[in-house]
Amino acid sequence: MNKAFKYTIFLFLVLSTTHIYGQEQADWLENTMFQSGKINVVVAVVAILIIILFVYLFTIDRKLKKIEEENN
Amino acid sequence: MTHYWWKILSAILVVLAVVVGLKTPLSPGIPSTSPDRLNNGVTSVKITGYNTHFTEARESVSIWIENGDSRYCPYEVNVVSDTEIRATFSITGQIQEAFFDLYVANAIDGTLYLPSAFLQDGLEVVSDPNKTASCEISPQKGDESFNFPNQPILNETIRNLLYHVPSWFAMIFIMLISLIRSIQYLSGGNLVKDMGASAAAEVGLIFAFIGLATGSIWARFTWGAWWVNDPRLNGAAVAVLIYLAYFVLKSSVNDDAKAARLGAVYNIFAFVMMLVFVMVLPRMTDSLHPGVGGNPAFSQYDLDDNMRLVFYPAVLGWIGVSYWMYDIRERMSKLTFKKMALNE
Repeated sequence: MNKAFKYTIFLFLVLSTTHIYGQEQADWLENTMFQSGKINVVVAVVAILIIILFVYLFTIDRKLKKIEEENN
Repeated sequence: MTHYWWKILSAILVVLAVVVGLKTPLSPGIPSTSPDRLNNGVTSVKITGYNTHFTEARESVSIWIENGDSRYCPYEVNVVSDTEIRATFSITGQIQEAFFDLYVANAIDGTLYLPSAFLQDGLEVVSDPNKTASCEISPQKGDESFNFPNQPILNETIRNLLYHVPSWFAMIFIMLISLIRSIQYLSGGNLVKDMGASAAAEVGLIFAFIGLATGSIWARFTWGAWWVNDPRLNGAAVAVLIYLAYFVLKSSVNDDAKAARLGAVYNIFAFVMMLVFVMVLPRMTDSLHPGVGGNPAFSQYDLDDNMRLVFYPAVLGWIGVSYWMYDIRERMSKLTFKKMALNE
């Protein structure tokens, strides 16, 4: 469970720093977000959804690997 | 193969919700005007449409603005393109409210509405103006096709409803599974049940993170900040912290049976607190979220029928996928448990 905890802390940190990085390149990034009826916000949301699911898939994979190694 | 049917069904529902949610066109709307102020006297404004057909329906275009009981029509309208109209208004004297609501009607798009489109500039705002203006209007009914509503400020991001909200539904469902497993552990003492409870809480947290992250991005470009002091946002954050504490509590006790018992008792407490923070408290105060401050969510004013048609399958699909993820995690826990039992 420690690993899951570490990942969540990592995620929190990543999320909390995005806007600090964002400020430097804020202009072009924000402008694209507001263009075409803000459709890129939807793109970002779907991307985040898929990224988090894949990160979780990856952690499950590692856990399963550990179980497999213990069984050998 | 028979026990795969719900997994296949939920996968199909999720794919369908993503495809239909992204492919369905947005209904026509007016996202913005520039300038967004009307002077005392003559003002020429540019009205920007979205998915509109202004040139095609040039003959039937009519525009008016409303302020209190008064209605003003432009004395000059110039259709520039499908998504751009230039109109000139002449307004003088006293008005009732500081903001003007804008209406644009044509035969193809119907009557489009932008509330508080213009702020008054230099006019006299009084509660009881000495005269009211009026002019002929011609509201239109547009073509009825399958599309999503075009709301001011939200625009295309209304599609996020199909990705952000179902993840919270999935989270609450999976936390309910976690609660059931914890109660089963407390009544039977079977350690596998407790492992199932923490597996479910883990999957639930993943969906909570999806909800927080997607909501944060959505808030940045509609409400203007990554995080706002909204009761629902803070409630969700507290709920996540409560469940993080569940894992900290379980990992801090060395004795397996004691950790399981403590965790199960705490989990029951955590579920009740989560319900209070996510479902009860936000409804008691005003919030930026729709459906809060008294009336339940998903009333007829909050959710469009076409959105419902995609939203409910999306919720079912994501609940199915979350249960699938939990199922895999629980089977892994059972393997670990078997190994532990063999070693002893």
